[in-house]
Amino acid sequence: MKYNSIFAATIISVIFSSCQKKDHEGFDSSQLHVIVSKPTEAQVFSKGDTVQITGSIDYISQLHGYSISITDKKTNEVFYDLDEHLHDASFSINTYWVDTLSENAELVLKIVAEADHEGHESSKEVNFTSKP
Amino acid sequence: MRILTRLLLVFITLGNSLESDACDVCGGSGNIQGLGLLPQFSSHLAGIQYLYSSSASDHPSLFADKPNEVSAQSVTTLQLWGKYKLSKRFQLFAFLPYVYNNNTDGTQSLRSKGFGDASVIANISIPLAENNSNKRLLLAGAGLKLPTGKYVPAKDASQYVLPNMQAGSGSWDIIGNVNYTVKAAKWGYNIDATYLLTTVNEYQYKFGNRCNISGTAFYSIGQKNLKMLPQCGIRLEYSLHDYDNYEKKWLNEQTGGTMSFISAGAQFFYKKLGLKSIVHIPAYQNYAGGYVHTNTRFETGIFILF
Repeated sequence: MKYNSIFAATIISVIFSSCQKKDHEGFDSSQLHVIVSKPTEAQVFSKGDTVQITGSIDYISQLHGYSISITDKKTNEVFYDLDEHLHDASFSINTYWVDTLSENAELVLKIVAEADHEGHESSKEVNFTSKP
Repeated sequence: MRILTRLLLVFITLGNSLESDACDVCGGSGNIQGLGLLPQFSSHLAGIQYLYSSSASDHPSLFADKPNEVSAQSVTTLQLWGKYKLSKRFQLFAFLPYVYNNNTDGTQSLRSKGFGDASVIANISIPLAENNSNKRLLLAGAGLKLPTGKYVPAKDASQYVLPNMQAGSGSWDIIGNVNYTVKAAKWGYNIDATYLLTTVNEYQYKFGNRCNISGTAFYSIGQKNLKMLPQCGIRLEYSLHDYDNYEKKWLNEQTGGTMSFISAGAQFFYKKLGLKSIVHIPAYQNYAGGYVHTNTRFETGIFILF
């Protein structure tokens, strides 16, 4: 009888210790903010210039990472590609790309914030130009 | 048999509490200290163990149009351990691991090595009704896992290693253990159940609570000074999800899961010297949503009884 009571208490304790709360359910896209400070829209760069990429991402809950890419709008060639897989509610973006292009190109910088693994994300694009 | 039924009931209760989900940062599975088939209850003991486990992860990328994230992990542990008999019924166990963890994802290898989290467990033998045909031993105890191993928080990106691939947890955790052995003539069996109740570390990371249950049958061969105990059994491992940030309740649903193993091996005794070798072959696993596959594990060790 004594051992039955001990095991009953153990099961009850295990049930309570197994409950796991989480902060929220569902994705709220209105609360995911992606801000790009640099470069600015329609900015022009020359060959050899350092293109500063700065910005921020924040959300009301945990994010799973972000990606940064610079792509030629006409050819879809990717000149810069960075993936960061980190868990936090906010990220500060501070990186750079050196313009090595020899021909004129219309480029787009895209920063994508990933809220989870179900494809919930938000992004920001900035168009700029490379003129050697 | 009643005790086996109760332990299985505890495990089933744990299993119904878990929600499994897709994998995120899949790392090597955690391990908690269990006692298993203990040699020579009447003696003090000191020994060293070598444990090796590896796993492979293959899961969809977090980012669209990117290939699957594939990685391989290995965990090597060299552990000092000992048992000290405080009295006829009380005994104290201590474990001090040194770990070497490696995570390779094709482009880079991240390594973490150093002393891991030490553990101490105090056990008491519980009197059982006399049974002329069988020898029975029931131990129950509790202990602590100390944050002696290094834990590097996620903010330190230049040194960042997956939480469950780090040398330490950074947290004080509570261990509960029940160990039951029955021996009749040369045959016997052992049931060991260990539960790890975790706490949050100073960086707000909280590993999920974990439970291990093993059942082992053994046979004794030999005489007093030279003995061999071949053994086989099953091992069940269960862990809840980790919290990336416990204060904010950021539950990492890409951690945790269930695994079971078929175990086979033997213990050898020559006078006061002992040797143990066991392999654990995965039988069923659903860890991190099925995206992490654990390979065969191996452990061996020598110990001295005194």
